[in-house]
Amino acid sequence: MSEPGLTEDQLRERFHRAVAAVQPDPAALPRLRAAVPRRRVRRRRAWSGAAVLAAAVITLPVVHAAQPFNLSGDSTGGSVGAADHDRPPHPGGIRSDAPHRPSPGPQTGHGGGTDPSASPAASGTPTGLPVTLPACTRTDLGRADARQAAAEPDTGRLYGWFQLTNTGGRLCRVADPGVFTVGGAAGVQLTAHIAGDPAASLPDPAVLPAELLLAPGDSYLVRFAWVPQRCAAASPAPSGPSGPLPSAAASTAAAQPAADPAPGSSLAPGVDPSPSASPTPSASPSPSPAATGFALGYAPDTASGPAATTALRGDCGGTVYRSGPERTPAGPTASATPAP
Amino acid sequence: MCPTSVTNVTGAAVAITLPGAARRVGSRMGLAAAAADATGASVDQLTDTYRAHYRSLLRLAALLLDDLSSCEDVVQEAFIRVHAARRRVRDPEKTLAYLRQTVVNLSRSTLRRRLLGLRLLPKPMPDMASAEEGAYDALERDQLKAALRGLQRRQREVLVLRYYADLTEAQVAELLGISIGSVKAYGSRGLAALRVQMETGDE
Repeated sequence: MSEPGLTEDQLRERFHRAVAAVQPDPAALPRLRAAVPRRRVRRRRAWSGAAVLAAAVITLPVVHAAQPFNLSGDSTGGSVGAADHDRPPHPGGIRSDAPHRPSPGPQTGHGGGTDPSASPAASGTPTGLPVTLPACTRTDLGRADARQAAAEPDTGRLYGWFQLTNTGGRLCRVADPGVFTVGGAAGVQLTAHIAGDPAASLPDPAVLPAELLLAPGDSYLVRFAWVPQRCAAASPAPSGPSGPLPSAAASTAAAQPAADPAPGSSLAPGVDPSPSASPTPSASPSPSPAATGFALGYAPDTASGPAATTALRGDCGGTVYRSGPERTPAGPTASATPAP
Repeated sequence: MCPTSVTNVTGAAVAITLPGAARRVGSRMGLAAAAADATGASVDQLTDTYRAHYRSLLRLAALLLDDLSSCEDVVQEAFIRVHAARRRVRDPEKTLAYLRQTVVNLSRSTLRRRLLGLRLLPKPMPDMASAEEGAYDALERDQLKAALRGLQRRQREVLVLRYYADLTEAQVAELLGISIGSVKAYGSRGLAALRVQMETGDE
Protein backbone atom coordinates (compact mmCIF):
# COMPACT_ATOMS: atom_id res chain seq x y z
CA MET A 1 0.00 0.00 0.00
CA SER A 2 2.91 2.35 -0.31
CA GLU A 3 1.60 4.97 -2.63
CA PRO A 4 4.50 7.36 -2.46
CA GLY A 5 2.20 10.23 -3.14
CA LEU A 6 -1.04 9.48 -1.36
CA THR A 7 -3.55 11.50 -3.33
CA GLU A 8 -6.53 13.24 -1.87
CA ASP A 9 -8.86 10.83 -3.57
CA GLN A 10 -6.94 7.89 -2.23
CA LEU A 11 -7.08 9.34 1.22
CA ARG A 12 -10.81 9.79 0.92
CA GLU A 13 -11.19 6.19 -0.12
CA ARG A 14 -8.90 4.97 2.66
CA PHE A 15 -10.89 6.88 5.26
CA HIS A 16 -14.12 5.33 4.17
CA ARG A 17 -12.63 1.89 3.96
CA ALA A 18 -11.09 2.22 7.40
CA VAL A 19 -14.43 2.79 9.10
CA ALA A 20 -16.70 0.86 6.79
CA ALA A 21 -17.20 -1.84 9.38
CA VAL A 22 -18.05 0.51 12.24
CA GLN A 23 -21.72 0.12 13.05
CA PRO A 24 -23.86 1.63 15.77
CA ASP A 25 -24.55 -0.35 18.87
CA PRO A 26 -28.03 -1.84 18.48
CA ALA A 27 -28.98 -0.31 21.80
CA ALA A 28 -27.94 3.16 20.72
CA LEU A 29 -31.32 4.44 19.63
CA PRO A 30 -33.25 3.11 22.63
CA ARG A 31 -30.67 4.65 24.89
CA LEU A 32 -31.04 7.99 23.17
CA ARG A 33 -34.80 7.81 23.39
CA ALA A 34 -34.55 7.40 27.12
CA ALA A 35 -31.72 9.83 27.64
CA VAL A 36 -32.95 12.83 25.69
CA PRO A 37 -36.12 13.44 27.73
CA ARG A 38 -34.12 12.92 30.91
CA ARG A 39 -31.62 15.54 29.86
CA ARG A 40 -34.40 17.94 28.99
CA VAL A 41 -35.82 17.59 32.46
CA ARG A 42 -32.43 18.18 33.96
CA ARG A 43 -31.92 21.27 31.89
CA ARG A 44 -35.26 22.60 32.98
CA ARG A 45 -34.52 21.90 36.60
CA ALA A 46 -31.11 23.42 36.28
CA TRP A 47 -32.65 26.62 35.02
CA SER A 48 -35.37 26.79 37.61
CA GLY A 49 -32.85 25.83 40.26
CA ALA A 50 -30.64 28.68 39.16
CA ALA A 51 -33.59 31.05 39.38
CA VAL A 52 -34.48 29.86 42.86
CA LEU A 53 -30.88 30.19 43.89
CA ALA A 54 -30.61 33.70 42.53
CA ALA A 55 -33.73 34.74 44.38
CA ALA A 56 -32.47 33.07 47.51
CA VAL A 57 -29.10 34.73 47.37
CA ILE A 58 -30.80 38.08 47.12
CA THR A 59 -33.33 37.59 49.86
CA LEU A 60 -31.67 35.30 52.35
CA PRO A 61 -28.02 36.07 52.52
CA VAL A 62 -27.21 34.11 55.65
CA VAL A 63 -29.44 31.17 55.42
CA HIS A 64 -26.76 28.63 54.85
CA ALA A 65 -25.88 26.38 57.69
CA ALA A 66 -22.86 24.38 58.50
CA GLN A 67 -25.32 21.75 59.45
CA PRO A 68 -27.46 20.42 56.65
CA PHE A 69 -30.47 20.76 58.83
CA ASN A 70 -31.44 21.85 62.21
CA LEU A 71 -34.74 20.23 62.30
CA SER A 72 -35.67 20.49 65.87
CA GLY A 73 -35.51 24.24 65.62
CA ASP A 74 -34.50 24.03 69.20
CA SER A 75 -30.85 23.40 69.59
CA THR A 76 -30.74 25.42 72.75
CA GLY A 77 -33.07 22.91 74.27
CA GLY A 78 -30.76 20.29 72.88
CA SER A 79 -27.75 21.70 74.59
CA VAL A 80 -29.47 22.00 77.90
CA GLY A 81 -30.29 18.36 77.65
CA ALA A 82 -26.87 17.92 76.26
CA ALA A 83 -26.03 15.19 78.59
CA ASP A 84 -28.08 12.95 76.43
CA HIS A 85 -27.13 11.74 73.01
CA ASP A 86 -28.50 14.78 71.23
CA ARG A 87 -25.47 16.71 72.08
CA PRO A 88 -23.10 17.45 69.25
CA PRO A 89 -19.78 15.90 70.03
CA HIS A 90 -17.86 19.14 70.34
CA PRO A 91 -18.09 21.07 73.56
CA GLY A 92 -17.98 24.38 71.77
CA GLY A 93 -21.15 23.47 70.04
CA ILE A 94 -19.72 24.40 66.69
CA ARG A 95 -22.51 22.58 64.99
CA SER A 96 -25.27 24.10 66.95
CA ASP A 97 -24.45 27.72 66.39
CA ALA A 98 -25.79 27.53 62.90
CA PRO A 99 -28.74 29.79 62.23
CA HIS A 100 -31.99 28.26 63.28
CA ARG A 101 -34.54 27.39 60.82
CA PRO A 102 -38.02 26.14 61.48
CA SER A 103 -38.35 22.52 60.67
CA PRO A 104 -40.58 22.77 57.64
CA GLY A 105 -38.18 25.18 56.06
CA PRO A 106 -35.18 22.95 55.73
CA GLN A 107 -37.27 20.10 54.65
CA THR A 108 -38.91 21.72 51.73
CA GLY A 109 -35.87 23.75 51.05
CA HIS A 110 -33.60 20.81 50.85
CA GLY A 111 -36.10 18.69 49.12
CA GLY A 112 -36.71 21.18 46.41
CA GLY A 113 -33.23 22.49 46.32
CA THR A 114 -31.20 19.39 46.17
CA ASP A 115 -32.46 18.15 42.93
CA PRO A 116 -31.73 21.23 40.90
CA SER A 117 -28.40 21.46 42.54
CA ALA A 118 -27.55 18.05 41.28
CA SER A 119 -28.74 18.91 37.85
CA PRO A 120 -26.38 21.69 36.93
CA ALA A 121 -23.56 19.46 37.85
CA ALA A 122 -24.98 16.70 35.80
CA SER A 123 -25.92 18.54 32.70
CA GLY A 124 -23.68 21.49 33.03
CA THR A 125 -20.39 19.78 33.62
CA PRO A 126 -18.86 20.14 30.23
CA THR A 127 -16.70 17.10 30.52
CA GLY A 128 -19.31 14.83 32.05
CA LEU A 129 -20.88 12.17 29.95
CA PRO A 130 -23.44 11.03 32.46
CA VAL A 131 -24.74 8.15 30.45
CA THR A 132 -21.83 5.93 31.30
CA LEU A 133 -19.98 7.47 34.18
CA PRO A 134 -18.61 4.92 36.60
CA ALA A 135 -20.42 4.41 39.86
CA CYS A 136 -18.65 5.69 42.94
CA THR A 137 -16.96 2.77 44.64
CA ARG A 138 -15.68 2.47 48.11
CA THR A 139 -12.25 3.56 46.97
CA ASP A 140 -13.66 6.80 45.56
CA LEU A 141 -15.42 7.72 48.75
CA GLY A 142 -13.97 8.78 52.02
CA ARG A 143 -14.13 11.25 54.88
CA ALA A 144 -17.16 9.44 56.15
CA ASP A 145 -19.05 11.37 58.75
CA ALA A 146 -22.20 10.91 60.76
CA ARG A 147 -24.19 13.60 62.54
CA GLN A 148 -27.26 13.81 64.66
CA ALA A 149 -29.45 16.76 65.32
CA ALA A 150 -31.08 17.31 68.67
CA ALA A 151 -33.95 15.01 69.45
CA GLU A 152 -37.43 16.35 69.59
CA PRO A 153 -38.12 16.78 73.29
CA ASP A 154 -41.55 15.26 73.48
CA THR A 155 -41.17 12.30 71.18
CA GLY A 156 -37.46 11.59 71.23
CA ARG A 157 -37.56 11.60 67.48
CA LEU A 158 -34.17 12.37 66.08
CA TYR A 159 -32.78 13.20 62.67
CA GLY A 160 -29.30 12.68 61.40
CA TRP A 161 -27.29 11.98 58.36
CA PHE A 162 -24.25 10.24 57.01
CA GLN A 163 -21.96 12.05 54.70
CA LEU A 164 -19.37 10.76 52.27
CA THR A 165 -16.97 12.70 50.10
CA ASN A 166 -15.46 11.84 46.77
CA THR A 167 -11.84 11.67 47.79
CA GLY A 168 -10.72 10.06 44.57
CA GLY A 169 -9.55 11.84 41.48
CA ARG A 170 -12.40 11.04 39.15
CA LEU A 171 -15.94 12.07 38.57
CA CYS A 172 -18.29 9.33 39.62
CA ARG A 173 -21.94 8.61 39.99
CA VAL A 174 -23.99 7.78 43.07
CA ALA A 175 -27.11 5.97 42.05
CA ASP A 176 -27.28 3.27 44.68
CA PRO A 177 -29.10 4.27 47.87
CA GLY A 178 -26.52 2.45 49.93
CA VAL A 179 -26.95 0.09 52.83
CA PHE A 180 -28.03 0.88 56.36
CA THR A 181 -27.23 -1.54 59.11
CA VAL A 182 -28.49 -1.76 62.64
CA GLY A 183 -26.10 -3.40 65.00
CA GLY A 184 -26.76 -4.79 68.41
CA ALA A 185 -30.34 -3.93 69.01
CA ALA A 186 -33.48 -5.94 69.22
CA GLY A 187 -36.73 -4.36 68.24
CA VAL A 188 -35.22 -1.80 65.89
CA GLN A 189 -36.74 -1.73 62.46
CA LEU A 190 -35.22 -0.25 59.37
CA THR A 191 -37.39 1.07 56.61
CA ALA A 192 -37.23 3.45 53.70
CA HIS A 193 -38.88 6.80 54.26
CA ILE A 194 -42.08 7.40 52.38
CA ALA A 195 -44.29 10.42 52.32
CA GLY A 196 -46.72 10.38 55.21
CA ASP A 197 -44.70 8.34 57.65
CA PRO A 198 -43.63 9.66 61.05
CA ALA A 199 -40.27 10.86 59.76
CA ALA A 200 -41.96 13.86 58.26
CA SER A 201 -38.88 16.02 58.08
CA LEU A 202 -36.98 13.72 55.78
CA PRO A 203 -37.11 14.86 52.19
CA ASP A 204 -39.89 13.51 50.07
CA PRO A 205 -38.43 10.57 48.13
CA ALA A 206 -39.99 11.95 44.99
CA VAL A 207 -37.76 14.99 45.01
CA LEU A 208 -34.53 13.19 45.66
CA PRO A 209 -32.29 12.97 42.63
CA ALA A 210 -32.20 9.59 40.94
CA GLU A 211 -28.46 9.88 40.83
CA LEU A 212 -25.74 12.29 41.75
CA LEU A 213 -22.57 13.15 39.98
CA LEU A 214 -19.73 13.71 42.38
CA ALA A 215 -16.73 15.62 41.21
CA PRO A 216 -13.59 15.09 43.25
CA GLY A 217 -14.14 16.84 46.55
CA ASP A 218 -17.93 16.82 46.33
CA SER A 219 -19.95 15.28 49.11
CA TYR A 220 -23.30 13.69 49.39
CA LEU A 221 -25.37 12.80 52.38
CA VAL A 222 -28.03 10.32 53.28
CA ARG A 223 -30.45 11.35 55.98
CA PHE A 224 -32.19 9.16 58.46
CA ALA A 225 -34.70 9.56 61.21
CA TRP A 226 -34.86 7.62 64.43
CA VAL A 227 -38.31 7.28 65.86
CA PRO A 228 -38.08 5.46 69.16
CA GLN A 229 -40.94 3.50 70.54
CA ARG A 230 -42.40 4.79 73.76
CA CYS A 231 -41.71 2.53 76.61
CA ALA A 232 -44.80 1.25 78.26
CA ALA A 233 -43.81 2.10 81.80
CA ALA A 234 -41.48 5.04 81.93
CA SER A 235 -42.33 6.70 78.71
CA PRO A 236 -41.56 10.32 79.53
CA ALA A 237 -38.22 9.66 81.08
CA PRO A 238 -36.08 8.46 78.24
CA SER A 239 -37.15 10.96 75.68
CA GLY A 240 -37.48 14.30 77.37
CA PRO A 241 -34.60 16.73 77.12
CA SER A 242 -33.87 16.67 80.77
CA GLY A 243 -35.47 13.37 81.58
CA PRO A 244 -32.76 11.02 80.49
CA LEU A 245 -30.03 12.80 82.28
CA PRO A 246 -30.85 11.68 85.78
CA SER A 247 -31.70 8.20 84.77
CA ALA A 248 -28.66 7.79 82.61
CA ALA A 249 -26.42 9.32 85.18
CA ALA A 250 -27.92 7.21 87.85
CA SER A 251 -27.76 3.97 86.04
CA THR A 252 -24.21 4.36 84.89
CA ALA A 253 -22.86 6.57 87.56
CA ALA A 254 -20.44 4.04 88.79
CA ALA A 255 -19.08 3.16 85.43
CA GLN A 256 -18.60 6.47 83.69
CA PRO A 257 -20.06 9.29 85.63
CA ALA A 258 -18.51 12.10 83.68
CA ALA A 259 -18.39 10.69 80.25
CA ASP A 260 -21.44 12.33 78.97
CA PRO A 261 -21.79 15.58 80.84
CA ALA A 262 -18.19 16.50 80.28
CA PRO A 263 -18.57 18.09 76.89
CA GLY A 264 -21.42 20.22 78.10
CA SER A 265 -19.83 20.76 81.44
CA SER A 266 -21.10 24.23 82.08
CA LEU A 267 -24.64 23.14 81.61
CA ALA A 268 -24.59 19.70 83.04
CA PRO A 269 -26.20 19.73 86.41
CA GLY A 270 -25.06 17.67 89.24
CA VAL A 271 -22.07 15.90 87.84
CA ASP A 272 -18.72 17.49 88.06
CA PRO A 273 -16.90 17.14 84.80
CA SER A 274 -13.90 14.98 85.16
CA PRO A 275 -11.04 15.74 82.80
CA SER A 276 -9.84 12.22 82.73
CA ALA A 277 -12.95 11.11 80.94
CA SER A 278 -12.95 13.74 78.28
CA PRO A 279 -11.13 11.84 75.52
CA THR A 280 -13.81 9.23 75.51
CA PRO A 281 -16.77 11.49 75.09
CA SER A 282 -15.26 13.37 72.24
CA ALA A 283 -15.18 10.15 70.31
CA SER A 284 -18.56 8.83 71.29
CA PRO A 285 -20.25 11.03 73.77
CA SER A 286 -23.75 9.78 73.65
CA PRO A 287 -24.04 6.04 73.62
CA SER A 288 -21.94 4.96 76.50
CA PRO A 289 -24.40 5.63 79.26
CA ALA A 290 -27.39 4.44 77.33
CA ALA A 291 -28.81 1.29 78.63
CA THR A 292 -29.79 -0.06 75.24
CA GLY A 293 -28.00 1.77 72.54
CA PHE A 294 -27.29 0.51 69.09
CA ALA A 295 -25.07 1.47 66.22
CA LEU A 296 -26.61 2.64 63.00
CA GLY A 297 -24.22 2.17 60.12
CA TYR A 298 -24.18 3.29 56.54
CA ALA A 299 -22.26 1.87 53.62
CA PRO A 300 -22.38 3.18 50.06
CA ASP A 301 -22.49 -0.35 48.71
CA THR A 302 -22.71 -3.90 49.84
CA ALA A 303 -19.05 -4.59 49.23
CA SER A 304 -17.93 -4.11 52.78
CA GLY A 305 -19.00 -3.02 56.22
CA PRO A 306 -20.34 0.36 57.21
CA ALA A 307 -18.34 3.40 56.19
CA ALA A 308 -19.65 5.31 59.18
CA THR A 309 -21.70 4.53 62.23
CA THR A 310 -23.56 6.58 64.74
CA ALA A 311 -24.93 5.58 68.08
CA LEU A 312 -28.62 5.79 68.80
CA ARG A 313 -30.55 5.07 71.91
CA GLY A 314 -33.72 3.17 72.12
CA ASP A 315 -34.74 1.57 75.33
CA CYS A 316 -37.80 0.06 73.84
CA GLY A 317 -36.99 -0.29 70.19
CA GLY A 318 -38.23 1.85 67.39
CA THR A 319 -37.87 2.50 63.70
CA VAL A 320 -35.10 3.96 61.62
CA TYR A 321 -36.37 5.67 58.50
CA ARG A 322 -33.79 6.10 55.82
CA SER A 323 -33.71 8.58 52.98
CA GLY A 324 -31.61 8.48 49.80
CA PRO A 325 -28.45 10.19 48.63
CA GLU A 326 -28.60 13.90 48.05
CA ARG A 327 -25.97 16.48 47.41
CA THR A 328 -24.53 18.02 50.54
CA PRO A 329 -25.77 21.58 50.83
CA ALA A 330 -22.82 23.82 50.45
CA GLY A 331 -21.40 25.92 53.19
CA PRO A 332 -20.53 29.59 53.08
CA THR A 333 -19.86 29.74 49.39
CA ALA A 334 -23.22 31.11 48.52
CA SER A 335 -22.94 30.39 44.84
CA ALA A 336 -23.20 26.71 45.56
CA THR A 337 -25.83 26.88 48.25
CA PRO A 338 -28.66 24.89 46.86
CA ALA A 339 -31.27 25.09 49.40
CA PRO A 340 -32.69 28.07 51.09
CA MET B 1 -23.15 30.13 11.40
CA CYS B 2 -23.71 31.25 7.92
CA PRO B 3 -26.83 29.59 6.53
CA THR B 4 -25.47 28.88 3.06
CA SER B 5 -22.54 26.97 4.40
CA VAL B 6 -24.79 25.04 6.70
CA THR B 7 -26.93 24.04 3.76
CA ASN B 8 -23.82 22.81 2.05
CA VAL B 9 -22.84 20.87 5.11
CA THR B 10 -26.08 18.97 5.05
CA GLY B 11 -25.72 18.33 1.35
CA ALA B 12 -22.28 16.93 1.83
CA ALA B 13 -23.37 14.54 4.52
CA VAL B 14 -26.27 13.35 2.43
CA ALA B 15 -23.76 12.46 -0.24
CA ILE B 16 -21.80 10.40 2.25
CA THR B 17 -24.55 8.36 3.78
CA LEU B 18 -27.83 7.36 2.29
CA PRO B 19 -28.75 9.97 -0.25
CA GLY B 20 -32.39 9.15 -0.82
CA ALA B 21 -33.26 8.26 2.72
CA ALA B 22 -31.56 11.25 4.20
CA ARG B 23 -33.31 13.65 1.92
CA ARG B 24 -36.67 12.15 2.77
CA VAL B 25 -35.75 12.38 6.39
CA GLY B 26 -34.87 16.00 5.93
CA SER B 27 -38.32 16.88 4.70
CA ARG B 28 -39.99 14.84 7.41
CA MET B 29 -37.88 16.55 10.00
CA GLY B 30 -39.08 19.84 8.62
CA LEU B 31 -42.63 18.73 9.27
CA ALA B 32 -41.76 17.54 12.71
CA ALA B 33 -40.20 20.84 13.59
CA ALA B 34 -43.24 22.62 12.24
CA ALA B 35 -45.36 20.57 14.59
CA ALA B 36 -43.79 22.60 17.36
CA ASP B 37 -43.15 21.10 20.72
CA ALA B 38 -45.32 18.03 20.75
CA THR B 39 -43.26 15.31 22.38
CA GLY B 40 -44.23 12.77 19.80
CA ALA B 41 -42.90 14.96 17.07
CA SER B 42 -39.59 15.43 18.79
CA VAL B 43 -39.20 11.72 19.38
CA ASP B 44 -39.76 11.10 15.70
CA GLN B 45 -37.30 13.77 14.96
CA LEU B 46 -34.72 12.07 17.13
CA THR B 47 -35.30 8.82 15.31
CA ASP B 48 -35.03 10.54 11.97
CA THR B 49 -31.83 12.28 12.85
CA TYR B 50 -30.49 9.06 14.24
CA ARG B 51 -31.20 7.19 11.05
CA ALA B 52 -29.79 9.87 8.87
CA HIS B 53 -26.63 10.78 10.72
CA TYR B 54 -25.76 8.53 13.62
CA ARG B 55 -23.64 6.06 11.73
CA SER B 56 -21.63 8.59 9.78
CA LEU B 57 -21.02 10.56 12.96
CA LEU B 58 -19.93 7.39 14.73
CA ARG B 59 -17.45 6.78 11.95
CA LEU B 60 -16.30 10.36 12.12
CA ALA B 61 -15.64 9.89 15.83
CA ALA B 62 -13.83 6.64 15.09
CA LEU B 63 -11.43 8.54 12.86
CA LEU B 64 -10.96 11.36 15.32
CA LEU B 65 -10.44 9.25 18.42
CA ASP B 66 -7.66 6.89 19.29
CA ASP B 67 -9.75 5.26 21.93
CA LEU B 68 -12.39 3.41 20.00
CA SER B 69 -14.40 2.45 23.01
CA SER B 70 -15.31 6.10 23.47
CA CYS B 71 -16.78 6.65 20.02
CA GLU B 72 -20.23 5.49 20.87
CA ASP B 73 -20.25 7.54 24.05
CA VAL B 74 -19.15 10.64 22.27
CA VAL B 75 -21.82 10.37 19.61
CA GLN B 76 -24.48 9.48 22.16
CA GLU B 77 -23.61 12.50 24.21
CA ALA B 78 -23.63 14.72 21.14
CA PHE B 79 -27.10 13.49 20.22
CA ILE B 80 -28.35 13.99 23.75
CA ARG B 81 -26.96 17.49 24.05
CA VAL B 82 -28.21 18.66 20.72
CA HIS B 83 -31.65 17.15 21.15
CA ALA B 84 -32.07 18.32 24.70
CA ALA B 85 -31.86 21.89 23.42
CA ARG B 86 -34.98 22.16 21.36
CA ARG B 87 -33.89 25.24 19.53
CA ARG B 88 -31.03 23.29 18.08
CA VAL B 89 -33.28 20.80 16.40
CA ARG B 90 -35.84 23.27 15.12
CA ASP B 91 -33.97 23.72 11.92
CA PRO B 92 -33.07 20.26 10.61
CA GLU B 93 -30.55 21.73 8.28
CA LYS B 94 -28.56 23.01 11.18
CA THR B 95 -28.96 19.91 13.31
CA LEU B 96 -26.25 18.01 11.51
CA ALA B 97 -23.87 20.94 11.81
CA TYR B 98 -24.51 21.12 15.56
CA LEU B 99 -24.08 17.39 15.89
CA ARG B 100 -20.86 17.34 13.96
CA GLN B 101 -19.44 20.23 15.88
CA THR B 102 -20.32 18.58 19.18
CA VAL B 103 -18.74 15.31 18.11
CA VAL B 104 -15.54 17.11 17.17
CA ASN B 105 -15.46 19.03 20.42
CA LEU B 106 -16.18 16.00 22.55
CA SER B 107 -13.63 13.94 20.70
CA ARG B 108 -11.12 16.58 21.42
CA SER B 109 -11.89 16.81 25.10
CA THR B 110 -11.86 13.03 25.34
CA LEU B 111 -8.37 13.02 23.92
CA ARG B 112 -7.37 15.75 26.30
CA ARG B 113 -8.78 13.96 29.27
CA ARG B 114 -6.88 10.88 28.45
CA LEU B 115 -3.72 12.90 28.20
CA LEU B 116 -4.44 14.00 31.72
CA GLY B 117 -4.80 10.40 32.73
CA LEU B 118 -8.43 10.84 33.65
CA ARG B 119 -10.50 8.17 32.17
CA LEU B 120 -14.11 9.17 32.41
CA LEU B 121 -15.59 6.77 29.98
CA PRO B 122 -15.74 3.11 30.65
CA LYS B 123 -16.31 0.71 27.80
CA PRO B 124 -19.66 1.79 26.45
CA MET B 125 -21.45 -1.52 26.54
CA PRO B 126 -19.90 -4.77 27.59
CA ASP B 127 -21.81 -6.70 25.00
CA MET B 128 -20.92 -4.29 22.26
CA ALA B 129 -17.30 -5.19 22.68
CA SER B 130 -17.98 -8.74 21.60
CA ALA B 131 -20.41 -7.90 18.83
CA GLU B 132 -18.35 -5.16 17.29
CA GLU B 133 -14.95 -6.34 18.21
CA GLY B 134 -14.20 -7.59 14.77
CA ALA B 135 -15.09 -4.30 13.18
CA TYR B 136 -13.15 -2.24 15.63
CA ASP B 137 -10.21 -4.56 15.49
CA ALA B 138 -10.08 -4.26 11.76
CA LEU B 139 -10.08 -0.53 12.12
CA GLU B 140 -7.53 -0.66 14.85
CA ARG B 141 -5.23 -2.63 12.66
CA ASP B 142 -5.72 -0.36 9.77
CA GLN B 143 -2.49 1.26 8.88
CA LEU B 144 -4.17 4.57 8.19
CA LYS B 145 -5.43 4.70 11.70
CA ALA B 146 -1.97 4.12 13.05
CA ALA B 147 -0.67 6.88 10.84
CA LEU B 148 -3.37 9.27 12.01
CA ARG B 149 -2.12 8.78 15.49
CA GLY B 150 1.15 10.39 14.55
CA LEU B 151 -0.49 13.61 13.39
CA GLN B 152 -1.13 16.76 15.32
CA ARG B 153 -4.68 17.03 16.52
CA ARG B 154 -5.57 19.89 14.22
CA GLN B 155 -4.04 18.20 11.23
CA ARG B 156 -6.02 15.11 11.92
CA GLU B 157 -9.26 17.01 12.37
CA VAL B 158 -8.77 18.93 9.15
CA LEU B 159 -7.98 15.82 7.15
CA VAL B 160 -10.88 13.84 8.54
CA LEU B 161 -13.35 16.66 8.06
CA ARG B 162 -12.09 17.44 4.59
CA TYR B 163 -11.73 13.94 3.23
CA TYR B 164 -14.09 11.83 5.27
CA ALA B 165 -16.91 14.26 5.95
CA ASP B 166 -16.28 16.03 2.63
CA LEU B 167 -16.54 19.51 4.04
CA THR B 168 -15.12 22.41 2.13
CA GLU B 169 -12.18 24.32 3.49
CA ALA B 170 -14.51 27.13 4.46
CA GLN B 171 -16.78 24.77 6.35
CA VAL B 172 -13.87 23.20 8.18
CA ALA B 173 -12.59 26.64 9.06
CA GLU B 174 -15.93 27.60 10.52
CA LEU B 175 -16.38 24.38 12.44
CA LEU B 176 -12.93 24.50 13.98
CA GLY B 177 -12.99 28.24 14.46
CA ILE B 178 -9.79 28.86 12.52
CA SER B 179 -9.00 30.70 9.32
CA ILE B 180 -9.20 29.17 5.87
CA GLY B 181 -5.49 29.76 5.54
CA SER B 182 -4.90 27.66 8.63
CA VAL B 183 -7.12 24.94 7.27
CA LYS B 184 -5.06 24.83 4.12
CA ALA B 185 -1.83 24.78 6.08
CA TYR B 186 -2.96 22.05 8.47
CA GLY B 187 -4.33 20.09 5.55
CA SER B 188 -1.22 20.15 3.44
CA ARG B 189 1.14 19.52 6.33
CA GLY B 190 -1.10 16.79 7.62
CA LEU B 191 -1.23 15.10 4.26
CA ALA B 192 2.53 15.29 3.95
CA ALA B 193 2.98 13.87 7.43
CA LEU B 194 0.52 11.11 6.66
CA ARG B 195 2.42 10.16 3.52
CA VAL B 196 5.63 9.92 5.49
CA GLN B 197 3.98 7.91 8.24
CA MET B 198 2.40 5.48 5.86
CA GLU B 199 5.58 4.96 3.88
CA THR B 200 7.62 4.25 6.96
CA GLY B 201 4.82 2.07 8.21
CA ASP B 202 5.04 -0.02 5.05
CA GLU B 203 8.70 -0.66 5.24
